[in-house]
Amino acid sequence: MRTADVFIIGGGPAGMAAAVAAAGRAANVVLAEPFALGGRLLTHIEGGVGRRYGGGLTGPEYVSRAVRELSTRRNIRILRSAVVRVGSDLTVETAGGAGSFIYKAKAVVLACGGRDVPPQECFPVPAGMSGIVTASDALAAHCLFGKRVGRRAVIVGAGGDGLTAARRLALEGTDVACVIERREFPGAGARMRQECLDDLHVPCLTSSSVIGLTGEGRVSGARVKTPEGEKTFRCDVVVCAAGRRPDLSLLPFVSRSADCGIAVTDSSFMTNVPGVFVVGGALHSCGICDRAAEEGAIAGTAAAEYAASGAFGRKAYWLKPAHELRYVIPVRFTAGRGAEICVRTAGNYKRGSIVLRDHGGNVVKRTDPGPINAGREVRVRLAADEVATNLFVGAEETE
Amino acid sequence: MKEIRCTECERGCLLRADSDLYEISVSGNECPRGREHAIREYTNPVREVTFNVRVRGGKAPVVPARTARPIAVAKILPLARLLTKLSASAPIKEGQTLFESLLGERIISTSSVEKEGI
Repeated sequence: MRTADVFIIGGGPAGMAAAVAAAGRAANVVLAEPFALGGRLLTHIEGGVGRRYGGGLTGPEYVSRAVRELSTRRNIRILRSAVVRVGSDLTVETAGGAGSFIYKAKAVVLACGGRDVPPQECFPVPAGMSGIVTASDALAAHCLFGKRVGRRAVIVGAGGDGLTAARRLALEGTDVACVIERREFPGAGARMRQECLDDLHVPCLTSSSVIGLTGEGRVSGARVKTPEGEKTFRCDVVVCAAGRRPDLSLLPFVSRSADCGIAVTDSSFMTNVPGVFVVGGALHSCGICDRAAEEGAIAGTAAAEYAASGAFGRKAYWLKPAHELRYVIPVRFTAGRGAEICVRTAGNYKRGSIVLRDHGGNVVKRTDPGPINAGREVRVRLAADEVATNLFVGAEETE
Repeated sequence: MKEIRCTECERGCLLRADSDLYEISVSGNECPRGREHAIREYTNPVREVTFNVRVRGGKAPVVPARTARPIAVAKILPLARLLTKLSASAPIKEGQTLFESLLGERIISTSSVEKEGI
């Protein structure tokens, strides 16, 4: 049996940042990644990521910097194998690639990203029909394999992923018939809407949904229910961009929040199983890169400390999201330690505030009012002394 | 008169920009950044755009690339269409100039591609 102080699963932005942070605390680190280092960043060729390296980078530029940073640390071992099982006793089994091993780790960081919501959960998909892909697969086809997914596309979902896919397809020779959004507003921010839709003349239908697909074998059209009635769009590919879901399949033993379904972690992203951490897309839909890397760095440091001493902040308070929120992270706020919490709302607010209340309904903290978009997380910095009891987190429009 | 959706923050104000001979007037903005944004969008809107460029004889079939500077919105689609017809030959280094001047814009790779078979 091999050993590791910190075993990191996944070599995307979160995993790479966790490895560097843990190695900086003198931990002996193993990073398992069966494919190329970089994860989703390899297919995010747009700019605007990389606060960690000064900002304004494209995904591939970020990856080359991060890989260089990893290679300067001598106590990081990159293992080109897939992880097939993690035990609650922190044994990790790998298979394929560089080989099948069993590691005994002192801490495990799950940074394997999320999975796209499958198309059949968003609209009816006739059995055996081809030409239906997820946004991640469409981007991989363009950015990794140099292939187009079709000639004329209908994109389902106007969040960040859907609009990124719309732009990539429209720029690289696929006609984008329209982007369809179930909600009454696109999930992505104003800048994304401008750059991916308006600049490229891509129409977007809100409050609309795909009710059926036509075609024999390959899809040939999408029937869409819109507020103005039913429309049919001719297309030979349907790109499903209905968001991503955390992938906790390797950690069936960690608890999930009853309120929002995400893994219960504390302020350093440790789950209810001591020594097991979850960060990035494996925890929540955290955007492309920077947020994931920040979480990875926090968890990597905490994992190295836990591996060295076995000590962690046992006392924690609950942060409960109100119904107008999709989730709040972390679910448990470690007592006596300041941390940043991350909130995602379900709706948009013109001048919204995030409000934290204690059991008696007294306001503990209220953020300055500002525009809040459902597609973007809001971060609230909490000092150690501000959280001294369980708190309810909500969002309010200020007049 | 031109309607512009402000992208400076999440509020996304609907701006209206108009001009006479002497000045550009902006309405609908809730902050000074909105005014600057409207003037920029009214006179010369520019964007940072990235592309995948086909590679000949490389370990990867495409290389990601960007323009050396933000380009005019009107140029985006013509440039993209032109780039789908072109290719670059491996090896390619990150930051290398792939095309000196396409519609007056320099195209720079944002990743490296090794030569095939080495």
